[in-house]
Amino acid sequence: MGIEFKQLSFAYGGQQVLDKISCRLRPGCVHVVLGINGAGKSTLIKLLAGFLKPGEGSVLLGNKPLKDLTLHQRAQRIAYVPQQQQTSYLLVFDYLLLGRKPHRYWQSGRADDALVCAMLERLDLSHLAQRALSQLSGGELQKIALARAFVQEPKVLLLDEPTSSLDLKNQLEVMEMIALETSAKNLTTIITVHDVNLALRFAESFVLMKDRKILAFGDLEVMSPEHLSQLYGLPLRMYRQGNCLQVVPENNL
Amino acid sequence: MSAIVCPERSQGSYRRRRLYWLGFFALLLLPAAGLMLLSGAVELSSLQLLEGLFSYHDDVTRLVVWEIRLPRLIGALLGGVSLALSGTVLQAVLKNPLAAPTTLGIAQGAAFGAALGITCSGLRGTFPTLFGALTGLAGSVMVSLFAFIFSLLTTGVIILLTHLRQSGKESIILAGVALSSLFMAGTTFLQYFADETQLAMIVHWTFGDLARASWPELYLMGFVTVLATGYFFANRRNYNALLAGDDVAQSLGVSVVRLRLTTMSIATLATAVTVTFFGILGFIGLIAPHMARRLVGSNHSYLLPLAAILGALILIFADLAGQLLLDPVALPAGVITSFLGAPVFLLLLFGRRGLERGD
Repeated sequence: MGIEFKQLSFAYGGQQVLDKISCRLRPGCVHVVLGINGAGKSTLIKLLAGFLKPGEGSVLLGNKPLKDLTLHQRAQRIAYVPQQQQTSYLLVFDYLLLGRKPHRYWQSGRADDALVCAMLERLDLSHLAQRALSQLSGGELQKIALARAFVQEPKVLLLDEPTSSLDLKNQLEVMEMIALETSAKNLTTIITVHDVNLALRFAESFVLMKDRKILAFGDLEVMSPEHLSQLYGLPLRMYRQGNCLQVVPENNL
Repeated sequence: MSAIVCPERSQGSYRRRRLYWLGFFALLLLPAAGLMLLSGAVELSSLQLLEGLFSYHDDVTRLVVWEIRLPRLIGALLGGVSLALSGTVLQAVLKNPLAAPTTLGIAQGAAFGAALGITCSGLRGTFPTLFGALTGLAGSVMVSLFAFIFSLLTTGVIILLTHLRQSGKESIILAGVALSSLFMAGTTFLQYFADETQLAMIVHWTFGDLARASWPELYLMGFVTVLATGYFFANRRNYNALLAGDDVAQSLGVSVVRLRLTTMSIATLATAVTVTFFGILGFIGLIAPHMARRLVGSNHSYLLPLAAILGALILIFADLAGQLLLDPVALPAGVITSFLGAPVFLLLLFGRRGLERGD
């Protein structure tokens, strides 16, 4: 189930954040939203999740307008992981069971327990099952939050800066988890990321946002030095190292 | 590489451990209730107690059991459950471990209302024109009515503030502190101008006392408590979802704003009814949830029932302690619970990690 937005506008109070942007995002693919701070990336994610109502335009999930779906129906289709996880004294296992909530009206059952166990084992996180969220490290917490979203079995995965507070190893592991789940379950995954190189390594589709508009959108070919220099407002150079593209700033600004 | 411990099985044993705690405290309720029925001004043996409960022979024993002891026990159960559950859910929806009926100013609002009611019923004779509409009411009904109205008023203000300040739920407790100090000032003002009898009545009203309620009031309390308990339990998974943050809860299908407003309305209504009939029973709404959380963690499927049981137990033991400590003087239960409140508050502030950890 892909996601599409048409002529989407949004303003916080009087301040326009998004101005009539349109885009179609296909399933089975990690889409990365890039842009400088305040470009409206998080706002876009929140509009797609349905937390904010667009001033103009609409979001389509599959062929259905998002606004026609109930909160419950949205929860069955869209999983969201915020930038900052709230810790609590809930156990990891109970926390993951929250992901089954949209699919169970009254109470989670044995099938849900088994699903959570399988997910923990698959992600090699079983040793954390009986810990409280507040006892986890930043990397573990982020992975558990992702696992919660996976357990939700959504069609669309919305992740707001999933790697922003992680070290290099955890960044790569988290991105790996996301890419694997996306292709395995044919998800439409939309991520905001600050690290261009990380995006180049894991994403197949790119949305470049600048000045309330979409600057460019598409596959790897939109990631040209010209576009990126324009996006970040400073001269950038691209290198190819083995299979990896690398972006670095020019030596003198 | 898979882990050595199968998480499913260890989760099972974990659940069982939490159920054991629930069972243990639920069973503890039985001897506690028995003790409470046995203690009082009139000496009763357990045999007499049973006779009074189940037979129609002895008039005095029957009267003592059915009109004094049993209402008191049921009052303790209902009051403990409603205050403890209200505290638990208020802490969940306001995301503040200090949220409780007393810290939000609801009890103080009720106390002010009661003081106003007492003063007004005294003034009815002096100014018949001004209070003409109220002459039909009995004094005690008027006091309860005023207490109830003012606790609901406090509730209304707090809910309004919560609604207006979606982002700053943490500051609601501060608003509660401000409100309670305002109401306390109002009560002091009324006390200053009250005559001696009224002053004694006002002061006596604020002592939370389980001996005050009779059957019709208990029916009303029971009705409200059952309704509130049902609503809270039905939403236990939603409260768990709230622990993950408002956005995540909404993405899981929880209508966050509606849940918060409804929960606050129901919790404060339950509190208002209890406070109206019993007076201020401080800190049960704060102590019981924290003790329960320490034993079974933050999952509301276990936290809510255990908090309810502990609330009832604390109130029963507070009432028993009040009767036994300074025998033959019987202290009201509210005095004991307030004494308990101080050390628990300090523990909360200085031993926070220990009190709130997950296991």
